[in-house]
Amino acid sequence: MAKKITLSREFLKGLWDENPVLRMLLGLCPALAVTNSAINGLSMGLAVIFTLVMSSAIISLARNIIPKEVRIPTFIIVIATFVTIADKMLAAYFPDISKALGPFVPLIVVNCIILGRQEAFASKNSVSRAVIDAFGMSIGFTITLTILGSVRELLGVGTIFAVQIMPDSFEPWMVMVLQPGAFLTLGLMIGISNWLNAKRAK
Amino acid sequence: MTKSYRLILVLTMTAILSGLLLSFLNLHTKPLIEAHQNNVLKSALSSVLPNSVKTEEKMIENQQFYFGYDKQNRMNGIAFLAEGNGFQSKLRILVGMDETLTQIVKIKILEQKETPGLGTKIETDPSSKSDSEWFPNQFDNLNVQQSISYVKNQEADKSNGEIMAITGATISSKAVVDIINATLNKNREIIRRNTDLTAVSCPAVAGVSENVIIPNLIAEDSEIIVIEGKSYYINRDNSGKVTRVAFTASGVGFQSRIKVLVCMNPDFSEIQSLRILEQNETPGCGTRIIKDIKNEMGQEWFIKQFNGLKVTQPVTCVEKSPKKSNGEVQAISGATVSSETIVDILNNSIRNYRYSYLKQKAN
Repeated sequence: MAKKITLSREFLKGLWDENPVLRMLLGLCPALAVTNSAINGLSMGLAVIFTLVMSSAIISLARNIIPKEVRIPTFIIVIATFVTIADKMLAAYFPDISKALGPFVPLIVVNCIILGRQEAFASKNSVSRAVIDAFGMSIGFTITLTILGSVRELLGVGTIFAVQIMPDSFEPWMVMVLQPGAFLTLGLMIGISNWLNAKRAK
Repeated sequence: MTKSYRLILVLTMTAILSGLLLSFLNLHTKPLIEAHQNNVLKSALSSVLPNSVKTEEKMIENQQFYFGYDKQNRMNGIAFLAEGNGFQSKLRILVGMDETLTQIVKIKILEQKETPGLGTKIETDPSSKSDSEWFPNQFDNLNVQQSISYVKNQEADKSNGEIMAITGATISSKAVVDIINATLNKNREIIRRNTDLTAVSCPAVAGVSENVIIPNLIAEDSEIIVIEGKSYYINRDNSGKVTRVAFTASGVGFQSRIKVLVCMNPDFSEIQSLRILEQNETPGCGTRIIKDIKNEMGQEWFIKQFNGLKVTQPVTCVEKSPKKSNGEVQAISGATVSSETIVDILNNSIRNYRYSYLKQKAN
């Protein structure tokens, strides 16, 4: 590492500058698939926070033990373990959320954000930095998914977190809760974030 | 060489640790997950079999059935799971029915992952102001003597087994209907083949004849035999000769299901007596099939007409002056449909029961 940035910047970079979904376009599969409501986006994000923080901590702890040649399989086993824990815990304590997220929780295993952070960051940094980075990244992911889910739910059903927002006369845009709505909303969100960045750079 | 050992050691240790951790987790969460699934099923069962105080689970021919019992421990409902493919996901539906499998009591969609906002309306429709579960609720008390069908953009005729499809989710609606129809047909057959003496059965032919064990109505010395899934109550005299054969049958009258107990000669040529076990016809009109207060021939004149009636030819219903020797009975004026229903039930069930009984006897 050429120069160390402060811990707070380490955390904040995940929220905006290196936001996994909006800036790095990672983890788009769950971002598009589960965000048909705000609560689904939020719970997916929470599952990712748990998995990413725990795996980053473990990988970072064991970074000097894990030989380079087998680092990827080791990362995958560690990640898969925590994903399974998250999946089982959700099924046991929050069955409704588990039902709504369906197969996307097990699929966090191959979510590129998580493997990407292990490879690019946790395996090269101290535990505290790795955990802070993991928190930043996964919270950035969660906020993005929650906004994405809220916009789609608001326009597609007229509610946010199942609370009625739109007046009764509002005719829901069905397309927003279907697959095209995910692409439209995410595209617009990326566009807006790029526009804001460009404006800031001037 | 030492390098390879290290690779193997690290990977193996990681895998073992992970395996250990997950097995402990599984020990902890498995009972919770199972308890939750049981709760879901239990609450679904009590909603689809609302009149049962107790349910019993039974596997028959690899199909799971839930039998519901009332306070007197009589079976009063059957529920089963219907599964199949919807538009884009697997649907699991719990169907609660009456004990004869002729009427749906209620259905509950246990699992579906249909298109959000469209196909998901088969479970709940948040956009409906009056009733968010209007689609599954259409199946409440739906008569299924014939297959269920669906209509679009028009009022459904519930008495005809019709329900209204969801606009924009016709395939999902159709899938629910098809899955229930298919499973129901299969399960009727299974129940019919497996009638045992503790449980109950279902329509043998076109929803008309059936067999239900009603111990309190049968003399204590009568024995129950089952032939081809039909139950007969046999009475013998001291020498062991059969003196009476009885069975139950039912059909749909003017506005309710009518269930009768038919006692016959052992050669099935003559009705000894007829008894109405269950009816809910129009008070004062259809109810005269059991009790007609005003008639000078006696309150039970209608039912008494069947005593000693020859049934070598089909029974017919006439408006007035019946010839009993021709197998004619007089209909109740003002309750022709109820009267004719009883005659139809008799004709269908006698033919059906006679055939199986005499065939068995000949063997």
